[in-house]
Order: sequence, then C-alpha cells, then structure tokens
Amino acid sequence: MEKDELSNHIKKAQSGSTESFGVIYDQFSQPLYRFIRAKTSGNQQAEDLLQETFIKAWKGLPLFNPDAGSFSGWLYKIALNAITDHYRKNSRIIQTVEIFDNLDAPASLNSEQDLDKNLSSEKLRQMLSQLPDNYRTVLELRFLSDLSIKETAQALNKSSLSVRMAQHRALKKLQTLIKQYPEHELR
Amino acid sequence: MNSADNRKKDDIQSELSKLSESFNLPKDSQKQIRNSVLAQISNITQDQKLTLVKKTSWTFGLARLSFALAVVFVILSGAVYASSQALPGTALYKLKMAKENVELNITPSPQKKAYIKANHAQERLNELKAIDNPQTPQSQQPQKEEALGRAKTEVNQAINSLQKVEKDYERKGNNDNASEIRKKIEDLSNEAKKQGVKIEDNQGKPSKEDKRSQNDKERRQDNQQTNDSRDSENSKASRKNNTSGKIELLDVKNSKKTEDN
Repeated sequence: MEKDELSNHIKKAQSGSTESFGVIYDQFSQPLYRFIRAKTSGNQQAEDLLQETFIKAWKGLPLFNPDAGSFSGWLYKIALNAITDHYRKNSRIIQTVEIFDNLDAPASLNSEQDLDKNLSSEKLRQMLSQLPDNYRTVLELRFLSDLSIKETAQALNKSSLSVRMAQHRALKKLQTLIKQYPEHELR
Repeated sequence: MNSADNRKKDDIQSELSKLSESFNLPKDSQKQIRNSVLAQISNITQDQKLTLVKKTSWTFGLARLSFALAVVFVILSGAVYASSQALPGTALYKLKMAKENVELNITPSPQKKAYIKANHAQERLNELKAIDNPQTPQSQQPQKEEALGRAKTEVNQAINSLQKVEKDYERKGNNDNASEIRKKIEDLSNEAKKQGVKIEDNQGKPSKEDKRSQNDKERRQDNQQTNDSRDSENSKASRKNNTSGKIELLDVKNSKKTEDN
C-alpha cells in the first residue's frame, strides 16, 4: 500500500470509518502477528493479543499524530505494551527460551529440502533465544515484521542510532553462535 | 568487517526473514480476528474514544499548570532573593520589607522574634552604610533621611526586645544566654552609634506601649478608687438618710403618742 493511501485511511479511521480501519488491519495484521507470536508461547495467545492491539489502536487513534512518527511504529508500541500487560497480569516473565521452543511444526514437511530448511530454522530459533531480550526484539521487529530502523526505534522508544547498534551487535552475536556449531549440526 | 563476514550477515538476515514465515497467521484466523475487531470497534462509541482524549488532555493541562506554577515560583524566589540586596526607594525594597514582616509575624517565640528584630535592625544599618557608599548612585541619596529614621526605630525596638529577653533569661538563671544577648545588644548599639543612629535613653525602661498600658492600668485603678470612695460616701449618706428618716418617723410617732396621751 502506498504511503499516501495509508495516511488517507488513517485519517478516515480517525474520523470514525471502520471500513478504513479494516484496510489498516489487512495491511498490518500479518507482520504484527509474526512479531507477537515470536514473543508469546502459543497461537491462541498471539491471536488474542493481536485483537487486543487493534482494539486499543482504534481507541487511541484520535491521539495519533502523523507528524510525531510513523503509524507502524505507533502500532508496534501498542502491541509491545499489550504483551507486557499480558505477562504482568499473568505474573509471568517473558520467557525468551520458550518462545522459539514452543513453535508448532509447519503442516507440510514433504520434501527433503523442506525438512532441511526446517532443521536450519530450528537451530536458528535456538540461537535467537540465547540472545539478550533487547537484541532479540530488535531482530524480530526488523526481520520478522519488516520494520525500518526508524519504525523500530519508534516502537522501542529508542534512537535510530541505538537500534542500528543493537541490530549490529545482535547479528554479530548470532554469527558467533553459528560459528560455534559444527557445520553438520546446522542442517 | 570483511566481505565474507558481510555475506554471512546477509545470510543470517535472509534466514531470519525466512523464519518469519513459520509465524504466519493462517488466513481463516486472520479473517476471523478481522470480523471480531470490526464488530467490537463499531460498539465503541465516539464518547468512549473521546474520554481517552479528554483524560489525556486533562493530564496535559495539569502538567502545563504545574509547569506554570513552577515558573512563577522560580520567578518569585528569584525576586525575593534579589530583594535582599535592595535599598530604600528601589522597586524591590517593598518586597524586602514584606518578606521581613512575614518572617517576624510567623515566628511565635519571643526570643526568636527578638533575634529576628536584631537582624532586621542590622540590615537597616547595612542599608545606611550602602547609601553612604560613594559608589551608590546619587538617586539613592535622598533616601538617607528615611533610612536613618527607619534604622533608629528598628534598632531601638530590637534593643528593647533583646533587653526583655535578657531579663527573662536572668530571671530563669540562664546566665550564658543572658550574656550572649547582652553582647548582641552591645554590638548593635556600637554599630548604630557608628552609623549616627541615636539610641534612646529609655532603653531598659518600659516601652511606649508598656507605658501606655501601665498608664491605662493606673488610670483604671484611680477611677476604681474614686468610684469606690464615691460609692462608700453615697452608701454612708444613704445610710445616714435612712437613719434620719427613721429618727423622723420615730419623732412623728412619739409626737402622736404625746398628743393621744
């Protein structure tokens, strides 16, 4: 979706158009879900949090100021707060390890190629879970949700420079972890 | 970082992007959530949305008010601080006097009041010194008479109050404090004399107010005595009148008796 088109829908949604909000949902639900899913332990929990995020976004839309930052950064910030609130209510700490351990296996694992790919992803998930939480969140926002550096910075309330630094360090650390694994174990 | 490292980094990034596919939201779930969200938000009235906005604007309003109050407080504190150096005739001098009055009025203890009065008197003497200073602008010179008059009043009042406190300490046998007060009186008197401020002779004697109240008391006592003596005379007179009345009555009775006989 073009930027102008999106801002048009945001304006319409701000003045009460549920139809435009539906378009916004279609645009953001998938990457937002990927981000929430990576931070939660089950599909159902992630779906509930996705729904909660969009309802909160609707309620808070009159406060959204396009001059203050991007819409996606604002939306991901709401999602992060919803996740934090969810874990606070349930008196649980976000478990970085279980996020990637509890993933449901993809439905189709027919070819050998798919199996190899899956094993590789499995190792990658394990390595990601060994990263500090702030590094992991940056990587999730950047590569799982495809947010730009600026949008990631807005969602995390950080400067673009610190996000860039965190991303660089996170990738370097991940690289080190990959090096520690023997080549045959990665596949 | 070399090109091999960069390539590896790119690989990791593409692996991470591939990983995101594992987290895809199934189409039917996506549609289901969409319907649920749209159904729920259509029930959220504009008022509910506005409440959130109003709440936030109220918070912003409070923050703005607090900021404004903080600014006023800082300006006032600055003005009060700046006024401590003010000389008679300047704009801040009234503020300085007001501050001293407040300081004096909120102090309940007579001992502390006496000390504060002494400090204020010392400040008046400092002002006199500052006006006499050749570096002080000529515009301040006409204020000298006024400053001298004020210094005289305040120094005498301070010495008076200090002497009362000194006597009080002496009566209680607290000689250390009494001698400290005596020293303060002496310092203030010497400083005042240096500045040409006349110390009144009646120091240690009752103040004008005390004198006035003493005179009132004496006058009241005199009046009471006069009233008392007048009352006693009246009562004597009435008693005498009563007695003479009785005598007259007796005389009439006696004369009637003799007539009857």
